[in-house]
Amino acid sequence: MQILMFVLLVGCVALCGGLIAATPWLMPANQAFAVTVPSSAHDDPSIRQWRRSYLWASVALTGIGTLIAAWSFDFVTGADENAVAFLWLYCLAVAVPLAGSFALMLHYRRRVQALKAEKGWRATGQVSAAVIDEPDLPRPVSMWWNLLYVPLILATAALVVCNYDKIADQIPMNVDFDGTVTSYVAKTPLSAGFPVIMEVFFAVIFTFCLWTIRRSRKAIDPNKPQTSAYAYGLFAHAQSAYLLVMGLVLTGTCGILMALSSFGAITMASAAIIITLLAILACVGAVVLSVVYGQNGARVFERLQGTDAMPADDDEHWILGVFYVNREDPAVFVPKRFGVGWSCNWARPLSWVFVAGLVLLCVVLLWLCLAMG
Amino acid sequence: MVLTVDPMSDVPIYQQIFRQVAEAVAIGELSPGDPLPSVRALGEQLGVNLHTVNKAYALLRDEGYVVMRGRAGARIADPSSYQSQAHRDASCAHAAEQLDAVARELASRGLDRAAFLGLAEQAADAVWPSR
Repeated sequence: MQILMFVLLVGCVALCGGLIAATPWLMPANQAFAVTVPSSAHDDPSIRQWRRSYLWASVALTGIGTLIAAWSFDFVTGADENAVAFLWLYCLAVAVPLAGSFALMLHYRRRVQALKAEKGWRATGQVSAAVIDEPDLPRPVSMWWNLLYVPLILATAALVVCNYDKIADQIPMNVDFDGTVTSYVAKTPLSAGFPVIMEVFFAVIFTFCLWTIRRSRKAIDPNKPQTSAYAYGLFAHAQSAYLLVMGLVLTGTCGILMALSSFGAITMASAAIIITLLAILACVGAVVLSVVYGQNGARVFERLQGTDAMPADDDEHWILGVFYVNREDPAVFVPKRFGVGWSCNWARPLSWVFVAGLVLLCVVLLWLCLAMG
Repeated sequence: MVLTVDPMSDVPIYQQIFRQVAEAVAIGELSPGDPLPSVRALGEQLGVNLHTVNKAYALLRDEGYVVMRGRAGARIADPSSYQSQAHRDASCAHAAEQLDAVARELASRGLDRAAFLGLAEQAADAVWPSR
């Protein structure tokens, strides 16, 4: 159990740091360190050199973070002060590659901006494109698939209800890294039904994430609208399908295993081991998907012939290269500028409503946990 | 069909959308019954104000290119709705005005009748290829 947790915690830092280091190679050709450039600039010697420098520096930071994560494991015992030390150290392990790579991105972003001014790379307009009536283009999976969460939740609820009498008066709630149960709560309908509550929480989160993918603006390059639309469609389809499948697997596994452990069908430690293995698998799968497709499907086609044309330039709307703020743009969700995935248009009030909603959901869950005692 | 807009163009965005859809219908890229994205979806995809897309769709409807089918949204109309005699007469009158302006401008630049007809021939070949 400890070994598995070690692999998960340390592996997460290494995996995420590795993905961050590889990010410049996953971006579309017309972007370099969150700056709009002609696609022909992808092979500019300076930009190539900066990508390599960013890579090695990020790998070094990830190495440091991984070592700190490994060291933090020394503090994993039952004593409270060691748990606090572990938490602080692990946060540091995550922060070092994250914050460090962000600072590096900003540094190289400034360099690319200077190069852009020096080379006179200017947009000829602010052209945007849409692909209409192309039913054969791949697209994100249908929202109807999320209905599969319903039988999952109902099955878990049935499991709890049918075995309610078998559930112990003290339900195990937490285990330490040795697999030893560290806290219990008194059996009540709320505490016994907690696996169902967790499943509902996960289902809402995953369903919302899938909806944002469907709702997002598509990344279509006016220079090559058909290929970029196809590549983006594949990317969005793959990401949404993975989200759906892993969402169902993780949600169902967590809920059912928690329910089984509450009436002793399996131990909490065994449940934790299975969930941990699944979490590792989910992380690895997500990284592989990102590398295979790239952001917006940038890696779907072999690098196409670059062009010097720059049909649009929206750098001014990307604050610090990662926060999109554009009052004139009605889109709420947009593809990320530096990284794999999607982001919000923070000028739209709806973005803040969604964030508030997610926070509220977490607060409600926390309140329920506290209410269980 | 790919639809592109450029806010920096002299042509208003709603006109750009209108012209491209009308052209797509003319060359058969869009057929009767083909769906158009919702106003919101197209506005979000192009990064264009929803009112602008609404104007384009309103113009397309008035000119008979598009019909609204309730929850099914906007669809390309039957040719009879945009190829009515009234629409043809209005288009001819509009085209005559534009041709008159083009001819006068070419004349002011020292170009002759043959040049004007040559340009008109090229434009016609692009839309109605010679058989």
